[in-house]
Amino acid sequence: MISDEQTILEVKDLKIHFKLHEGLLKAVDGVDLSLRKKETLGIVGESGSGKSVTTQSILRIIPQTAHLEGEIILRSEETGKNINLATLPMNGKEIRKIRGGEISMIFQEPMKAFSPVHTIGNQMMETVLLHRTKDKNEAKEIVLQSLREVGMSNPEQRFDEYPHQLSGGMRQRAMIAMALASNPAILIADEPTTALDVTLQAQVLELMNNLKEKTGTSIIFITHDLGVIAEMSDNVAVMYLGQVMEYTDVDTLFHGAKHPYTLALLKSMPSVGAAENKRLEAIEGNVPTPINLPKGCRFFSRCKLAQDGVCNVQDIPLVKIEDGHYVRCVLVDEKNRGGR
Amino acid sequence: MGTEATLLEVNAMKKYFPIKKGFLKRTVGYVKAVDDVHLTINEGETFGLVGESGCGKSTLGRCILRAIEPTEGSIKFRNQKGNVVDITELSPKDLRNYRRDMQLIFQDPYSSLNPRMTVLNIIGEPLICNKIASGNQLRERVKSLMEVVGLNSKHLERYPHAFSGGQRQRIGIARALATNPRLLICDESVSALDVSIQAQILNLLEDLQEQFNLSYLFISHDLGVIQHISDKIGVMYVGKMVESAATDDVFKNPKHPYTESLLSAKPVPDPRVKKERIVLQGEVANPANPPSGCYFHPRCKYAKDICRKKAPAFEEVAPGHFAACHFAKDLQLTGAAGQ
Repeated sequence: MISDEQTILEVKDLKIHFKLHEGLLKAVDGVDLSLRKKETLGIVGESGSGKSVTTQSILRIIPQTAHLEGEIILRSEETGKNINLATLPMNGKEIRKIRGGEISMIFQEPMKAFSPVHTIGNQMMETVLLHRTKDKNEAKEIVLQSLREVGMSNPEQRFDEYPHQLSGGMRQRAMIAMALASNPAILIADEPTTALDVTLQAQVLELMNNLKEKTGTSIIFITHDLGVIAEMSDNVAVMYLGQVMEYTDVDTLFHGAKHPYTLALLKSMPSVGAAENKRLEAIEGNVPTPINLPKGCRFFSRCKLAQDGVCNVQDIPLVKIEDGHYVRCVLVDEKNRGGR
Repeated sequence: MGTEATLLEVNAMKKYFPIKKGFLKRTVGYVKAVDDVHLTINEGETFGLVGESGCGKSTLGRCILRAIEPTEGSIKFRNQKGNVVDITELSPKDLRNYRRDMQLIFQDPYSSLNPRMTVLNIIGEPLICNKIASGNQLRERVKSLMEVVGLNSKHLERYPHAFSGGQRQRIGIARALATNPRLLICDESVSALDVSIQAQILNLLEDLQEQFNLSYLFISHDLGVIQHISDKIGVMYVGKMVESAATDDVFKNPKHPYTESLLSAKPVPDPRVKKERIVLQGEVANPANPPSGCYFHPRCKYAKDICRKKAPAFEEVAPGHFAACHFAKDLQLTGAAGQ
């Protein structure tokens, strides 16, 4: 992945392994990502692909039992220095300053992410007091302002309400307001609209896009919904079993994807407007558990193009086939080289 | 009841849940979960029911099975001999015979299977309850059912935890098929699954439909899935059916503003399609205290005075196309993108 002065976050060869009785679970195995200013990076993948763990490791909120390797470099805007988040102590001062400050996060289930026994206002004040100001009155102003920004009706009243008093859509708005209250440089959104209905999802996506325009925050957007990806992202990383299979801009993903997994994923999705009564081209089999995986391509067991002796011999690198388009597939790589 | 081919006809179905308050538990109001809904399903047909959470689509599905007792309305079902029976009038004993013909497939394959029962017991239970098979015969039947849904019949003695999400959903489908039903109610049956697994299950459901001439009532909030699998669609909003027609008609030529906004809210998996999106303001009305007139009027951009005052009737606005909107015939609404 190219990095220039616009890059604010770079993940290099990230590995997250869990030691289990059954063996070594490689949740994330050599992931490279880079995020530029004002960019939305979409991460798409099925459950178990390691997309959530990857982003959680950026904030260092993965379980302590996890074994973390690689580099996560944040180009801090405040200090102008490069910080390697992967080496910071998990409970240290430095990482706690970044968490919810320079990098904040929106979770999937707004009900679980809020404390049920504190008011919305108090929970948001906590972030603001930690990261932006020590003055309580000023903090309250900031909180009310950010509640207003996310389109919350009657913010003064909402400030004193508990999470259960808000509806699902409102709670997700409060969550976004909380994440943005600290003026983050990077916003990580982990399936923020999966639990919402389509009409609410449309509201939240529009809101996030508008806020991004206004504040210039970079967003890492995790989802399994390719429709949402098309709408939100500039660049997309397709993950499967802890590895990035394809990394490209959003237009190429939908109109010139190369990796068999990406193509299969696109075909297996029933979409509004597709030719009807066409049988879906399902991907056979299940996502394997990433324990003691054989050598070679992760997608080997389910890939229609897989060739014995070619795909399962050695681990496959992520190869650049065009500027900004990376694919992890031997067959694509060979074809590409042969064509030139 | 309609024609020979009609399998199920639901008329004026209502389900009101009482709201009880105070020491004496007096009824202070009703949640109108399902309010005056009509639908018909023909043999071998899939009826897709779509709507946001809380619109009463699951309640409707359960009322048809009488898993929840409907408050009012009739459910006419054609049995295997061709006689039409009103399910709402059946005694519990008679109902048992009809339950065989109607089965439910649940959403969550993790909580809908008992973790302490083997696959043999899970799939075999309906066979034992209905005294269809026992002993060796049961084993054989369960084995063949497992093969029908694409599971390895050697895994008969395994427990659910040994299976993945998609495989568990297959177990749930095998259980529903055990009694040779004619109507399957699929309540968000693919919503909890990953895209690749979802496609497998949708294909399986379509194969089974062809093989056994099944009818489906397919409940989902995912418009893509609904369009893919359904022949007819019903759109629900706050307990009422607001539009119902053949799948193509609904997607290409919606007649209700709510359907239009649902179609436009669905993200299109193509960055080159830039569409004008109608983002609905506000939230779904509270079914315990719905707005006056048309329930959709506070969020509708076409709303006029009459919408606030008078509830629209659910009428045929074009051949086979029903909608509940005062202006269904006048409005030019946009269908789904990419059509």
